[in-house]
Amino acid sequence: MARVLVIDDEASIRLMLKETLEQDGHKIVEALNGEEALKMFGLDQFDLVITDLVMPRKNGIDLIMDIKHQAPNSRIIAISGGGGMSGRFDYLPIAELVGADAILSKPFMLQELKDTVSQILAPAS
Amino acid sequence: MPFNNQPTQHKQVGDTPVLVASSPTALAVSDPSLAGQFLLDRQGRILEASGKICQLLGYDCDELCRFDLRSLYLDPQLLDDAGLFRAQRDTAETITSLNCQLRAKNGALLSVRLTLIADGGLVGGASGDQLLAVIHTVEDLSLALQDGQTLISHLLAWSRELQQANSYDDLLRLIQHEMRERVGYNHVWVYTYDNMYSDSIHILSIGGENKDMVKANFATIPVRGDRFLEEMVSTEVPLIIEDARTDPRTNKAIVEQLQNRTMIMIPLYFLGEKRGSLGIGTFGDAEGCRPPGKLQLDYIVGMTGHISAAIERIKFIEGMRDNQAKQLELEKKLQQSQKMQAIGQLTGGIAHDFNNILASILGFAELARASMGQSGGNAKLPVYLDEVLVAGRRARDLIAQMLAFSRGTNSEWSMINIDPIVSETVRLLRSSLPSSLELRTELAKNLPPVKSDIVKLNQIIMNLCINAKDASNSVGTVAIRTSRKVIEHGSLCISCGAPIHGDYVTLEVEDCGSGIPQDILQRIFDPFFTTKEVGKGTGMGLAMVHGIVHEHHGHILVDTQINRGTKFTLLFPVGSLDSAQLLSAKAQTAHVASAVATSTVLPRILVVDDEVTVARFLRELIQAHGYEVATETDSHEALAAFQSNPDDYQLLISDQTMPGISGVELCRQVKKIKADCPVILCTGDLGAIPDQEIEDIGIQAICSKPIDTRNLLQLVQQLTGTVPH
Repeated sequence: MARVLVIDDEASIRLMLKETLEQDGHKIVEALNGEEALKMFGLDQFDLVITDLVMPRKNGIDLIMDIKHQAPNSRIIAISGGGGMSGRFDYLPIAELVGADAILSKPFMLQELKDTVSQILAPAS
Repeated sequence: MPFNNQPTQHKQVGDTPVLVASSPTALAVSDPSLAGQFLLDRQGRILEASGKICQLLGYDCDELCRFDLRSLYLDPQLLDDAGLFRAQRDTAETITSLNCQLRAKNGALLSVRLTLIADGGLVGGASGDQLLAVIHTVEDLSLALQDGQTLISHLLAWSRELQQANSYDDLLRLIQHEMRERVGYNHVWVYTYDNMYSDSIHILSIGGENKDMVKANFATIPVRGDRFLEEMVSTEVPLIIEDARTDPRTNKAIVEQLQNRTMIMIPLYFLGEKRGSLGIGTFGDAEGCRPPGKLQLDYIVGMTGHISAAIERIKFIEGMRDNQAKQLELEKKLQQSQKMQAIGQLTGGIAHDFNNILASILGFAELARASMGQSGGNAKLPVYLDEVLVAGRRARDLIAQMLAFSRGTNSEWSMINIDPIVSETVRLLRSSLPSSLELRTELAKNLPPVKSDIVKLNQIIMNLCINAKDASNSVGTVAIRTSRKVIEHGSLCISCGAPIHGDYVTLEVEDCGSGIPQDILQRIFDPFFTTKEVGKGTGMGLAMVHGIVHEHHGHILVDTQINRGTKFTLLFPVGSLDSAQLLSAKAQTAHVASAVATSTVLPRILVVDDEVTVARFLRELIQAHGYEVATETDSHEALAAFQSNPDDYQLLISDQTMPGISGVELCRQVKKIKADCPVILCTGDLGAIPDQEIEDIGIQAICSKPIDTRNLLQLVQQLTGTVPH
């Protein structure tokens, strides 16, 4: 069972992630954007971060870089519906470049999410 | 005596020339200007006269037969001087043609053209002792005008008509009419010159019976080496060829072909510059040789001033029309390309939102579906939720296609031979298409490789084959062919409107289905455009094909016939050519960039990463700090760009794992070209490259993946000795 920080500016996505992952017994903490998430990350210990990329305040790319800077071994899954903050390019490959351990394109099947989470958490558990 | 009415000891002649078949100068029956003919002896005495000339002169035939031709002639000396009657001829041929006036019984003067022909024994009598005088009336120009109109006022009125003409054909019709009515010539043509010292001339317009043949064969004629044309182009005065067959200046082969006789070429001047020539003439034995009289020539020259002005006016109008047409064509192309771009951008923009929305819809539907299983409840709810899931997944697939169209997806480009991809895709398709539809592949051997993404290539083949299946109701044959084609100028891409030119590998998918109506042909590549029933087609298939093919720098041609079938031809540029084009474009960019670089403070950095998105991200990131950044996604092209302008780059940032040249090798090559150029190598596997190698090459920094952009920026700053903005 892992402590998972879920970051998405859309409440419905957060709720969906929460409901799904809780089915597997994970403990979910939610944040609305990168800025809020970074604060929480400093205050708490998380086994996994699942973050959206296109968000107001601090975006997912900056958040991943900040987290990897603070805790290089932290595990991160980036999720995105494609497109980028400027609308010019897809941020998922960049998330991988800056350190995301896995990426998921929205929409995804819940089983895909569960499988990815298990896979990322596996080496630690 | 009148011919054909009374018996006579002389051989009778009619109004129509008796030598039509054999004489080159005899005139046509239909010629309205033909007034008749006299049969003369060698002393000039009239032996016979045809009915019409008797009528015109007011004598009866017997009366005329008492006359010497000279007594009817206004200036008999002329005939004697010419010694015409004394000339002995053994064969039928024209002795001379001259304009003169005959005196009628009532004293009136009749303007005629008189052509003397040695009969050569064909008419009668001993060979060479008789002459035939063929008479044509020549309307006196000043007399031909009615109601006291002067020649000048008539010419001006005609000129006003000319200025109404809006095409060369209209203009020529007016000239031809005037020439026929006023001057008596049936054939008119206009030459234009490229310039005053033209090497070739062009027929602008031509009237008369031969016009189609002349237009087809002599639309443009080289001037050099043709004496007649050389003189025509250089002379400032009218050039008159009385008989093109005998004049030494004419090209006899052309004369033989066109059957030219008399040719009158009048220079056309406009604002002091010679722009062309007006040609007037006679053709064939039917018209014979008829050089103009002085008054006729004066009048023709008078006409040409107005004709020149009218031609220039039409040239101006046609030029405007051409420009307008070109402008419209350009606008159409631009609109098409803008439309595709706008749709691409829009798609990219909304896809993200749609995906987020769908993530919720699908996610919650799945959660609901799962919880239904646990808690029981209404038995129909799981069915309903399954429908939501099916619809949601369809929407998800649609957005994926839209993204492919908008080029928002990631690509894996490599140099590939498309044949195996085509074979494999067709093999996969066979199992999913009805057996009533035959898929036939005709693959060219030894195709050159193209830079392509296998997955995308696969997608477009699938799409075109499925469309072919739908268009042919799953019956018949769908042919899938590959080949190599060099396309010269002329074809336009059906979806982007750009002209196609170059060396291409082609992929054709041809069906024998219903065909595509012309009115929708331009729209078939629009996203969401479909002719299929609701639910059967997304309208994204061809939009995606358009997107992918153009991502390959390729183009599309469509050949379609209603109820016959449709052939889509996809053109992919042959690899080497593509690179050459890119290289030359890059050389230009680099040149411009180097000019710009002199005025910028911060250095120029070359970023190389085969992942397009990453390359673009790094460019944006580094550019945001004031540096100038060039990106390359192909390591070979990166090296070529660096090689062509090494001084343009002050730093290289390269990914390690790339197809083609690896990052380490690229750094090595760059260092060979410019040893003092710092390089940063980005790699996710630090241990894979021996430290010694890094040191030997002189790689200044390794940036390990995942990249911390702040570290990267610090490195950039250090290695270039600059302070980022």
